[in-house]
Order: sequence, then structure tokens, then C-alpha cells
Amino acid sequence: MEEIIGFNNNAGQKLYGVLHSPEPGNTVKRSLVIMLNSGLLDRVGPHRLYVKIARMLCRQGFYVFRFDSHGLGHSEGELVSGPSVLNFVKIENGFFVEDVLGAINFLSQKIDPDKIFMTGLCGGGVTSLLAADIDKRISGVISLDPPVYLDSAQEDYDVNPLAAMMALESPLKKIFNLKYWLKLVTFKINPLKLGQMVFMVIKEKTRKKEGRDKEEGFGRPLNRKFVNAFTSYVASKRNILFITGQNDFVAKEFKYKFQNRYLTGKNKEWFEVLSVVNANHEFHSLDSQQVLLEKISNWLAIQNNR
Amino acid sequence: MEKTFFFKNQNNQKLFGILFCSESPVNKFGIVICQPIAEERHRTKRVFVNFSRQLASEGLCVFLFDYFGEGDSEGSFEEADITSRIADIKAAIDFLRQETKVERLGLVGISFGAALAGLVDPQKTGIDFKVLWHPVINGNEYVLDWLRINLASQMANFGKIKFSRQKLIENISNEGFIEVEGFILNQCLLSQLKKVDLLMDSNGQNVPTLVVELAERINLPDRFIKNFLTHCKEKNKPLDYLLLARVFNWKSAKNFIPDHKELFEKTLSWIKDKA
Repeated sequence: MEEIIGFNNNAGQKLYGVLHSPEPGNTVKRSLVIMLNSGLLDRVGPHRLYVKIARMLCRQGFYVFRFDSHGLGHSEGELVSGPSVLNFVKIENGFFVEDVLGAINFLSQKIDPDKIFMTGLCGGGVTSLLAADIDKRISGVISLDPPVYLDSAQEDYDVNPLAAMMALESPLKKIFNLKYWLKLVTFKINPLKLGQMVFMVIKEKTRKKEGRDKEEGFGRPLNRKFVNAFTSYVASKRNILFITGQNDFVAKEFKYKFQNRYLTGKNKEWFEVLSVVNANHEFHSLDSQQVLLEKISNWLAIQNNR
Repeated sequence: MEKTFFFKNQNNQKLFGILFCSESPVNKFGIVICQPIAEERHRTKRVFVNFSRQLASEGLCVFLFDYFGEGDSEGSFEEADITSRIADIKAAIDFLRQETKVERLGLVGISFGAALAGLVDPQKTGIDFKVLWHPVINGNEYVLDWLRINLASQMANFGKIKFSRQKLIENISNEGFIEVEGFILNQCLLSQLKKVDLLMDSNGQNVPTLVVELAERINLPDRFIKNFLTHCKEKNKPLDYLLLARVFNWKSAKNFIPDHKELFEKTLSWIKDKA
């Protein structure tokens, strides 16, 4: 059954969502999955990904709640009107966390779940972790392609420096390759684009990066809030699954800035990273969607039985 | 007052809708919003929520709903087509009439939603007016847009074009579908999209109609909209035209601008005057 639910967040704004309830008798535990907005999209998600996930999980016996944080969908409140990045920065800093806590309070009374899981794509993946760190009622998190950096209106790059650096690795390897130079002089490789990338890398190398450590490297600064939430969350011995798209640039930054540095060490048993082959940021291809759904379903089944 | 519903279409499928009404409606206008399809729906959802709230505050009743296979409604995108969406608009019109006491009822849509609104037969549905914000006039052009999006995705994903435009069309014939931004463009939807041509279906404009062109560059008008206006003029259709700057963009998510004061005000003023 799918029903529309309205509840108030802590600021008194009315937020709306769809609650998917399993058929009576189709569930052993009363487990709830809460899905958080992907960026500024409404509770349906890109290409209705959230609807597909919610309906699949509901058939497997989960309660699923997809709701709109304030200013999104038809929930009350307003976000900043202008470049989307202005709102992304806020989300990465936990702008929607209070809405999530409000949803948990409301649903705890309405459903009285045995377990609560959070999931979301992109910004929703960040909010999931930030909220889970605060609210110990959350048993597990599935964070899909979370951006681990902090966006900034001043650094809304046309060419991402990290992308430029990665893209330049290939030409550098081919610098003594005659075929490569042939492609370059016959304009099969766009020299302007190449020049733009070289310029971006030099600019980034010479730029002062206040408050950042050297290891953070290129591009946007690491979101310390995200890192701290992760560290404290796994220390509380709760599980988190990161699912990334192989072809997603956000995932490349995830690996470069976060996975290689922080997903190691003593708390290894509490986190897992799965990469979906040939998937982009929003899991557009049907194959990647199918793999994503399977991974979510399998992980939740294991966590639910713990 | 805002009320949410699941209501049934003619195939007994559950559609999601939100009714925006003032507590005591001061006039008898009702509006059904015809949302665009696929990813454009997401990019305009909040625009229509804000527009609906503004109209409701002026005493109108507005119904914003999701077609079968879209948004929170039942079904999957690939199960729906143009015919089903037009039937859903009819179901929404009937639902709004049942729920409210509106006397004059119109459609407001954008992009392909405006094309769907344009195709709705006023005689069969009893609607009194239409507002088409930057309508898709020609389905073939719209399909090309979809293919362009697929090509851009290929470039972003693989750094090259694996399947050309022609190959994509062949794939639809051979494999039955292609994927565009995660949505399935199948043979059925493709063939129906290609047949959409508001020039051929101009009977849909037998009621007062406002066409608003939302131009990215004011000095570069859309040639399809221009042809449509000329065509309607020749056929003596009761059509008004307005050219405004494109403040929000349904083709890109780079900006989040859920408002367009001038568009909202001019649309409302036209509805009150002409409709």
C-alpha cells in the first residue's frame, strides 16, 4: 500500500512523503527504510529510481518512506533560488538533517519500527550519514555516490581540476607515441580542450588552498563534516554500505579523497564499498539499475537479519 | 488549502495528485496542470507547486497530478504512452470537477506537457481555455532532443559516441528500446512521439489559448512556435502570444529557480481577462 503522509519538521514546516507499507503478513520484522532527496530532486529521484527501489523493498517486506525535505517537492519552505550549487553546499553541511530527525520521530510513533535504515543518492547519501551519526536509532546506511567534497559557488568549475589531472595522465603516458602526436596535429584530439586542462592543472597547483592538507590534492576541499560523521558512525559499530558508479566522476573523487584515505583500519567490518560497473552518477543504464537494486536488496536482507 | 489524493484513471490505475484551493474560492476557475514528462518533470515540479500556490491564493483551484508511470503514480514509465497521458489528463479534469465547484476549467502545461495540453480535445473534455508555456510543437524534434541527450551521456560515460543517432534509432527497432537519462524510450512511445504535431491537431486550439514562448535569447525565436502561431492565425484560432525570458530551465539542473514572477502574473492576468 502507498499512502501520502504529512508531518511537521522541527521548524514547524509541513513535509510530505509517500509511505510504502508491505502487505500484512509479508514481514517478520518491522523494518523501515527512509529515502532522502537526491540533490534538489523530489522524492521520486532521478528517472524514478526511488520509486523503483521503494516498490522492490516493499515487496520484500520493508516499510519505505520517501519524503521531500523542506523547499522540495510540495513540502513547505523555500530554498535559495539561483545556481543549484548554492543549495548543494548547504546540503553537504547538513541542511536537511533536522528534517530527517523529524521524519524518524514521526515514523517511530506511527510504525514503531524494529530497525531503521537510511539511504539516498548524492546529497541524500551525505544527509543519510550525517543524520545517522546523530541519531542512534538508525541501524544502517546505504550511501549512493555521495560527494565527499564541499561544493562552492566560487569553485563551480567548468573543468574540474581533478578530472583534468586524471585526463592528462593518459596524454603524458603517450608523449613519445607518434600516433598520439599525429592525432593531435590532425585535430582528432581537441588541442583547445587539452590546453584548457593543462591550464587548469597549473592554476590549481599554484593556487593557495587555505585550511586544506596537502594530501587532499586537487579540486574541491574534502567535506570534513562527512569524514567526521563517518569516523564517529563506524566507531559506534553500525554498518554502512557505499555504492558508487564506476563511470561517475563523483565516485572518482570519493575514491581519491576519501576511500583511499579513510576506508581502512580497525573499523573495516562496519563498512563496505561496492562499485557498479559501467554506471554513471544516477545509474541510468538498465543493467546498472538492476545491479544497484540487487546490491541494496542483498545488503538490507543481511542487516535486517542481524 | 492543499489536499493530496490517489485517484483512479479510466483503467482503474492509481494516480497521485495535489489539489491547491483557497479556503473560500473567490472565482470559479479551475486549472489542471499538465506536467512535462521524464526528467523535465523533476526540473519543473517546484515551479508548478509555486505557481499553483499563487493561483490558489488568488482564489483559483489547481490540480497538479502525475501521469500513470510518472512521479508517485502507479506503473512504470515504459508502460505509459501519449494516449495514456491524454486519458490521464481527462481523468484529472473529471476529478477536479467532482472535487470542486469550478465552472470554467483550463489546462496549463510546459514543454511536452504543453503539447499534451494542446492535443486535448476541448469538445470531448469541456475545457474552456489552455495556456501553453513553450510547447513542443513537433514530436520529431522532441525525439531528436532525447537522442541528443543519449549522445551526450555516452560522451560523459565513455568519452566517445558508441552509438550514433542512426544506430540508436535502429536499436529501438531491433531491441525495442533505448535508455535516455534512465528512462526507457520504447518503440510504442517513439512512434507516438513522432506523430505529435500541433500544426496538424490545431482543433485542440478551438478554445482561447495563450502561448508563452520562454526564450533563452529574446532575439532568437523558436521557429516551430513561430510556425504554429502563423498556422493558428491563418485558421482564425483564438490564440494569444507572449514572449518572455526563460528564467528557469527545464532542460538543465544547473540552476534551481522555482519561480518566474512575470510568467505567473501574466498567465494569471490572461486567465482572468480572456478565459
